[in-house]
Amino acid sequence: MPTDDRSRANVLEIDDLHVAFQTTGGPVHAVNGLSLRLPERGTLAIVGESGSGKSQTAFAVMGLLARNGRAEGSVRLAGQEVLNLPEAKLNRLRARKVAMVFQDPMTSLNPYMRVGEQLAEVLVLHEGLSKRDALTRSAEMLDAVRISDARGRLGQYPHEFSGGMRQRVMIAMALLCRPALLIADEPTTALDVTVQAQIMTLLEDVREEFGTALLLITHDMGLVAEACAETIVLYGGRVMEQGPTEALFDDPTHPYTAGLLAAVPRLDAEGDEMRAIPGDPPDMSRLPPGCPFAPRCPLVMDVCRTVQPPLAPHGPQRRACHADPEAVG
Amino acid sequence: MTLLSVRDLSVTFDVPRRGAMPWAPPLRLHAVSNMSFDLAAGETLGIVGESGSGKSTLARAVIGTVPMSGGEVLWEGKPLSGMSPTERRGLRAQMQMVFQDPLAALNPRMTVGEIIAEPLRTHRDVPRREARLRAQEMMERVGLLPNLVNRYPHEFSGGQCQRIGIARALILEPRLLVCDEPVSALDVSVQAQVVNLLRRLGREMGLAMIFIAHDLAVVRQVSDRVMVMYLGRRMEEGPARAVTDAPLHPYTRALIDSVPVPDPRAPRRARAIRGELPSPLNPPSGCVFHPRCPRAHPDCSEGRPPVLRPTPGRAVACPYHEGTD
Repeated sequence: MPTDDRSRANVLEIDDLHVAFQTTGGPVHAVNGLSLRLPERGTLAIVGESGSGKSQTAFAVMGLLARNGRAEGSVRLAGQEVLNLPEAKLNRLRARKVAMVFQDPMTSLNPYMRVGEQLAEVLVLHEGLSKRDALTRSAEMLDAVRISDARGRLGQYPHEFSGGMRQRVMIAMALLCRPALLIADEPTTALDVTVQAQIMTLLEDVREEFGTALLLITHDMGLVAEACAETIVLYGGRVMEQGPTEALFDDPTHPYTAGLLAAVPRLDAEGDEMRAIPGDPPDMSRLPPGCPFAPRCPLVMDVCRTVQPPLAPHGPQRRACHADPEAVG
Repeated sequence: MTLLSVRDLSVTFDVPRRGAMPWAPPLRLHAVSNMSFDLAAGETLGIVGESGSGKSTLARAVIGTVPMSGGEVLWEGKPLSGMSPTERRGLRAQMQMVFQDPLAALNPRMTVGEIIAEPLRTHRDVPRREARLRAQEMMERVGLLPNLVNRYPHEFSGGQCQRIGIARALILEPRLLVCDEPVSALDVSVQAQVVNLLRRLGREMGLAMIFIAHDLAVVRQVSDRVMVMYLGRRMEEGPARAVTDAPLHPYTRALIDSVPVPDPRAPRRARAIRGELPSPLNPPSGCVFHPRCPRAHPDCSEGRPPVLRPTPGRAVACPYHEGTD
């Protein structure tokens, strides 16, 4: 696992981010009060299940929220406020300061354009390169993501690439303008496990090679442990716990983190029963007034159902929980 | 007692040639090649493999929703091909299936009660009122509140929809349940609930199960025996814990090494194996895994690898398996 150096400047700072969507059934609060610091070349995971708000956090940073979505708070890329910037200004930051890799590499590429054209377009648009220079740089980048015969493959269409190769192309495209921050939203979820391992190894290699910081959005605690120094655990749009990954895995201070870690299927598990968290994930349009995890929590108290616990420091972590941290685990 | 025997089962699909004249002969895709296995009553066989390994096609061919192109399936020693349509219809009730996408598998215009009771009406002609009562009993058994019987599928969460699918599959008290990736669409916190439920019901009802998944850790948890497939062929088979704790086939080893360990202090896993699943339209010669295999020998590209049985109950289709050097 990569180590963290706190003396570095922050490439991403988020303070009290709120994301809400207006729907016919009333407002849906997808993210409620998320704050984070990600230093240059650092690694941070936002982990959560479906509907936890992890992807909407990334979309808010990129300015990609759906039209009925509204973000409040502060998001700073290398010190510059980016939340709710006009599209033209955002476009100048995208690719150069921050780039994103999405879950499904097929739908992120244009099926009618040769891969080389799609890569070169980024450099022509953002760096004003000539088409010829852009293609040369694109080939170099395909080479950097370990695609063999890079020159030859520039002329191919996305369907001529396998799933894993397409995700390599997406990573190459994201890195073309050497952004300081790469956001990867479930980058391996659509891939088979042997290919997932290749892509995660590649992400780590290019991160070191290009000095990029990584914000990894995932549901997989295994990938978090492997790839990220810091972790934020989201549930029902709220931060349950955040802190250094090692501390969080060694000594979870929130019952949801502990439950999630116990529920991960493991090849060295003993006994017949798997450890489940009872109940179902919350309905985001009807969140309970208190802690969103209260209906499923083994340590629930009366206060949990009415008062949202504040995110408070505990050792190296921060936790949002009314229960005694010693009772968790 | 052997409930189900599969002998030399193959499934092929004809794929039209891209850009060719319409009368050109189609390409032949071998989805499943010469698979054989036995399943005892009450036993759970886990089938693991990546996408394109043929695991779903194999299961569908066994229960008859995909036509076989070769081989034979025997139910209690009796070949399915020799059965009359009436016998086969009766047998269908004995074999039920649970699908991957729990919401897509349920008719959105039917109430939960109607969905669960439907097999009773079609197969057993049970009167409506009694079928509804039986459906409510089944809801209770799978952990759903019976008073939700008049609700519609969209009012339930993914995990609850999977419970509805399980209730519907079990209402006829089948003897074989085929689960095709039953938990891979569910959140981790809910996965374990459904796995535990299937295991408990399987024990209570003496069910034989074929449990298909790409997650080896889940399969290990529910299965007595595990079969590892790659490109339509069996790579390895054996007792679940033996296969996962001490894999013999290099592909099984690679699968295990690829799973990220949820422990930040764990030693970094070995480098991933190279390449991706080849096209089943143009499978590699010899052992289909040889182009990606870290232990490949020159002769692996020639001829089908022999199936070795190094210990009782274990089979591995590799002469150079783990522990041979």
